[in-house]
Amino acid sequence: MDNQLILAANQSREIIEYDDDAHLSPEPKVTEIVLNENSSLELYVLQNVNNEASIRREFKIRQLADSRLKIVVITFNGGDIRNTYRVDLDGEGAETQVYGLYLIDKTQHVENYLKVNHNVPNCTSNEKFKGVLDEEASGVFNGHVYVAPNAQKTNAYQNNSNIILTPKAKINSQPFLEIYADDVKCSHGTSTGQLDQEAMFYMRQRGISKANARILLMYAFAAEVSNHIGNEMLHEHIDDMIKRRLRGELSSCETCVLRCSHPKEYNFDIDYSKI
Amino acid sequence: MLLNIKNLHVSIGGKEILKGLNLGVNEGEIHAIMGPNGTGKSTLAAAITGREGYEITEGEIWYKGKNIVGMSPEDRANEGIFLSFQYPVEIPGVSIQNFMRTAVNSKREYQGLPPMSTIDFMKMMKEKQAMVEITEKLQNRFVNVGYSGGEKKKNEIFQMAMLEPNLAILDETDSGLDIDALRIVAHGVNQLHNSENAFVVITHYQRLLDYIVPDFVHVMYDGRIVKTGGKTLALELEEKGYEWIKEL
Repeated sequence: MDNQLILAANQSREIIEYDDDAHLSPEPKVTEIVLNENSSLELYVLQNVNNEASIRREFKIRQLADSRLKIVVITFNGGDIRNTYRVDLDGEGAETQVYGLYLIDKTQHVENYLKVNHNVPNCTSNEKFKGVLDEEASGVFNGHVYVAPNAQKTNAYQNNSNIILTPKAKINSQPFLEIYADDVKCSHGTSTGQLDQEAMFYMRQRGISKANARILLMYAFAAEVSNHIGNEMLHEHIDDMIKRRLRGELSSCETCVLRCSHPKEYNFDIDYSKI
Repeated sequence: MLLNIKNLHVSIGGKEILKGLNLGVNEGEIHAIMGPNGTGKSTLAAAITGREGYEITEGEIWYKGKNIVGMSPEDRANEGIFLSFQYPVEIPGVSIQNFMRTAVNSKREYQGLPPMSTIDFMKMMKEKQAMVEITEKLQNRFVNVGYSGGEKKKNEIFQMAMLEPNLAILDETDSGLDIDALRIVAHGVNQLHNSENAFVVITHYQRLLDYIVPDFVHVMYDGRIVKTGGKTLALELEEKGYEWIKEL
């Protein structure tokens, strides 16, 4: 167990972390989270490592009654990344939101495995994962929502959408619902496509260059995930990183914020006193 | 001459749609292009604006003294060509403000001008919105998302007012409009019209031409302009339909 986070009843926390300790050996880093009654956690994870590095990340979450969880994981860069989420909704009235964004290129590979267990009635889960895959990047999305026989009045939504920019980029997307209760609202969906050519022409007809139109569209796509970042300063900062990433300015180690292969001092505009 | 199209042949996926079209438009003029469905009216708009997939196999499109065949859509736009889309595209996540600001500043960059200040831009937005009676705050609305047909068309005319084109092509701007929206759209066009710009109004019905009065009416059939006349030609078409055109 790498770290454990237990929120007492009625506690509320916001945590921001960087998965920047690039593992060269794929040892999983496990975070176990327990949210007691009516507690609330917002967890923001940023992943930005070089193309040779791997990340293996596991989140094991147990939520008790009326607890609220929001996780947003933003993957900017990394050679081989696998995130695994397991959420057990064990108390009525619990709400969970899991959002993921991956913007990858070259031969990068990102996998997201998600299992949400609605073990009791009256819980809500919402998962949205979005990705832009360029060049020869590849990804896997595997989402599984389980609704137990007694878990009536469950609301469960799951969505994965991807933009594939080249013929060589690929994604394997498998959303899956397993429902044993009969009074539930559940949906899942997946979509994979190219940039909307109608929208591209519309923008270019207004004088916007092809390159800028692409970035605007990709940014709008990505913002559907980043807009869930509740911390305003972090939101602004991540949005800025998304824009730079989409312009191709974040991919190399020179502009990377991390010290993985070139140890050096760096400044990051996040006010840690507020965390 | 602002626009001079000579013997234009355009194919889509190997199928010839325009078959030798000629059209000349001077500054200050309003031209209406009418004709039955499937005769190439929208293809003409696509060819002038440089849409991909419309292959120009023969002929020339002269605009401001340059043959623009091969020029990118954005360069044509920044040279002052504007298309009011028949089906304006929804762009979720891109606010109208951000979209228009990017467009206005792209044109300024093309002209070698510095970006417009936020204050000036906001002022211009407000002014142009008023022109087409858009009263709501557009700052946080996404481009065309959740708009009714009429709102989308008003929004097209708003964008046209923001970009102040020299040549505006209105592709079936009247389709799906009720009479109030039609008046607003026409009023916007009439306010923007001056001696230095020109409008090409593609329409199926004469109705719009009651409000936007054309100097010339052209009738298209089978990829060509088969008849040209004054505004009375539109009335004649309204009365007699398009059947007789096919005999020409």
